Amino acid sequence: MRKAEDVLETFLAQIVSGAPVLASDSGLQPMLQVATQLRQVGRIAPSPARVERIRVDLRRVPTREAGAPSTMPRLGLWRRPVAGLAFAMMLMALGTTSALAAPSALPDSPLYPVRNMREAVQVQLAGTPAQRALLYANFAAERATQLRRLVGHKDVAPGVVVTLLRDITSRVHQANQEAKDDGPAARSAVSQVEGQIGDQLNQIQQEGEFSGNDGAQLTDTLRDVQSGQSGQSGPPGPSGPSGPSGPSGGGNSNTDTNQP
Amino acid sequence: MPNALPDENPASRYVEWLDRARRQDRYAFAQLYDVTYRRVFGYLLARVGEHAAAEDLLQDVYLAALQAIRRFRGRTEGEFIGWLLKIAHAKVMDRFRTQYRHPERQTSDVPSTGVADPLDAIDQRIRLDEISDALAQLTEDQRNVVLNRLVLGLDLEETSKLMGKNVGSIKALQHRALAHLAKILTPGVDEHA
Repeated sequence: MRKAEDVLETFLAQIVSGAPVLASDSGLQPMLQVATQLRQVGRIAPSPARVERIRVDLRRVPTREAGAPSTMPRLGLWRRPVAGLAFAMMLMALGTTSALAAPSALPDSPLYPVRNMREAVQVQLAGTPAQRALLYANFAAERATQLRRLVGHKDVAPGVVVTLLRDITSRVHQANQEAKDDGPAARSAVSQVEGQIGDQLNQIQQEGEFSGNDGAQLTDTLRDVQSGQSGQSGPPGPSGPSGPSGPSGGGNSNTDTNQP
Repeated sequence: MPNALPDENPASRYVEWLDRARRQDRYAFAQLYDVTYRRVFGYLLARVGEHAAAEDLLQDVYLAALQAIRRFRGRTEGEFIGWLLKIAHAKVMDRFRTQYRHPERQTSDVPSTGVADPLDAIDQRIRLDEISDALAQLTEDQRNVVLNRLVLGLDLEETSKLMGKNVGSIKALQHRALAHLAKILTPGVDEHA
């Protein structure tokens, strides 16, 4: 006697092939009815318009979406956070390096604007005019020391001298402005730093390394520093022989766009 | 653009189409689409019970297949169909999950079954709904057997290969599946009769 499953299979094969089904076993009738209905579902087609639209879409899908071999290495899911972390650490390292390198960056360095910005932030964070005055004076003094060192090593890139000297002048001027609004103690502190700056610039001048624009700028800066030290510093104007806002050496006098 | 394939042997054609499709040959992929979409659509229709939804899913399935064809390693029609049905299954499950989470997002009540007479269309839609609901109550193996045998029209051997089971198991599974479906879809029928 054939098993019920074999009998059913005989009829199912007929249904699948589309042949008429003649089942004498009434117990199988409901199952064959369902099988016929399922076969009919399999014969329902999508609309021709939709079939064509999908075909068109498949042609239009951009290669990137189509999974073209990527030029980037494939990363597993667990590797992505690791790669992200590595990238973040690299950025942090770069940021830290920049932050560390910026305070001593020279005008020919891409980090010089960062240095100016950093100084501006420090000044903004300072609470009193005296603190701001001292900050400006120290920023000028740092530049003077750098310039002295560069001259000593005879390693001065073109344009660096003029920019450093202009920035020294502008910071000395701002230091005096801030100190003027404060008490004598602030003026004294600034004056002390200006004395150091004046010494550095005097030494540079005595070495006679600079001529032309650099030499003229050095003379102007030295005079501004010394006048500030003697309490005569005023805002440099176009009427003066030269100054941060006056014509000097044919260059743009307002190069320190990021100055505090 | 090559329009004819050198070897007209169906098995060789599949191998070549698949190889070319993996290299992003759109013509080859279109050939694969042409020879498989009816079966994939039948599967989707039986699962979701809505003509328009099945059409939407059909598009999703083939776009997903196009994106992933590079990683498909099969070389035969059966393997390719099996792979497409896996994608189709995943798409159906995504749809069910969305419907479960957002029951307010129901599809249109307008029948879109490709049937000319609207009343016939409504009848057919109701029946499709019932069939897909009944299929959802089967075990996964039972459902796959009846879908492969009756909706896709595969024979016993093909179904056996596709499902990785022997022919005897397939026969037993389809018997149990149809008995269960008959009980659900035909009132008064005893599954164990």
